[in-house]
Amino acid sequence: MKHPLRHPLTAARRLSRDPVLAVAAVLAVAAAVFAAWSGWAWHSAAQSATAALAQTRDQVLQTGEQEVQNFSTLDYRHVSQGLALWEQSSTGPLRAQIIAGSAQFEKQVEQAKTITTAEILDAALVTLNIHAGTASIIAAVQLNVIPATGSAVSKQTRLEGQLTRTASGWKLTALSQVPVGSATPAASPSATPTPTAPAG
Amino acid sequence: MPHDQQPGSPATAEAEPAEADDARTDPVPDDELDDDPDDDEPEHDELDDDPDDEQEAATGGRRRLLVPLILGALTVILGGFGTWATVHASSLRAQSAQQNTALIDPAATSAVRAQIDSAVQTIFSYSYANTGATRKAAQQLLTGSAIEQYDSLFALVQQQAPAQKLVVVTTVTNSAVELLTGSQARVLIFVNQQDTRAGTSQTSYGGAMLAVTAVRQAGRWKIENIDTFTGS
Repeated sequence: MKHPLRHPLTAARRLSRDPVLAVAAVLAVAAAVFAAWSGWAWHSAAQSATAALAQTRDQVLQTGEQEVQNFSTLDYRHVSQGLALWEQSSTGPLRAQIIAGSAQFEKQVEQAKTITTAEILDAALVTLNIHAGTASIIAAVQLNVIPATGSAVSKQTRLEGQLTRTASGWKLTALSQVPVGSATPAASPSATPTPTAPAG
Repeated sequence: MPHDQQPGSPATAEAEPAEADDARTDPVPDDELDDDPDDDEPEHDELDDDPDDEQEAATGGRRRLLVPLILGALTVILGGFGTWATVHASSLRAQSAQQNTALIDPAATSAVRAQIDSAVQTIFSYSYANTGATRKAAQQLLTGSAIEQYDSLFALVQQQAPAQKLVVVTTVTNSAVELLTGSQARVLIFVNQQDTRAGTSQTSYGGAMLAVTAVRQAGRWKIENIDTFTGS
């Protein structure tokens, strides 16, 4: 036997005979246990599922905000481009509405000669179901409307929308203004291309 | 036994080449042949060391130190890794405690939403006949700068509401939690307000949007700030 530790009996005898070796062995085992435990703790902290979910939520919100903004923007000089962007930002019933109403809407906006730009003041997801691929969003939007004549009008609007996951990302399936009051739906100026406009 | 016949150093000198030769020429009966020299080894040491005690102490001491040194180095390396991993794990955990868990923690999200919805409805609903009740209730629901904010707003209400016989009912139509950490939250809220003038039965409706910052105090969410987006 060339190695003194190869034989368990010899090793035990040596350990009992040699306190330095015994202490070193105990410390090394303790360090190994500590390293294994802390390595596991580090790994589990790094791999937390929450982080991935949070990333998805932030991404859905960001996409939704951008799409709400797309729907709140329209320039009579480039109506078809604007409507193409609306189409890209939507899917399902909302997209079908835009396609169905686009010719008439295009004519209306070109006659009204309005330029509408929007700023998202704040937005948040109301619900998010990653498994089903659905979400709902609300957004506080500042609209700036430049009419054909007269000065620009700035107004705040409250929008609520539904999002669905598609092969090309999350898209709006519904978007509408939150009505003020309960009795009668708010009468909105028809010349203003708010997101509710294509819905009628 | 051969070692009985080898009390001197020349015998050991012979034994070593013999071992080497055996290994080279006869690979098959390894076990038998190898065992013999192995068994001899302790004797080799003794025999080798017999003539020189100092050398024994030196080689034995070196060997005795070598294993503890390796173990010591292992202890340092493993301990170092363990310390590093522990520090990183705890900083990751601290980060995730600061992380936004809005919607990811459904129970906490619903709780903050329900409490803030209810608080907003309470503090913005009042009757000219008893504005004091609303103001008193608001004290339980507000904290920090929101108290001052609310007081200056409500001073106007208390001044004007009785003359106008105003009854205001505020209803939350939409709300969503934007940010949620252990002790802080930001909730976007849409409200509808129904204003009725008693006697005239004139009713008007209005809508508003608010971003409410809330803090958690003693298990309850309290409104710390209300942003009405009038700044821009």
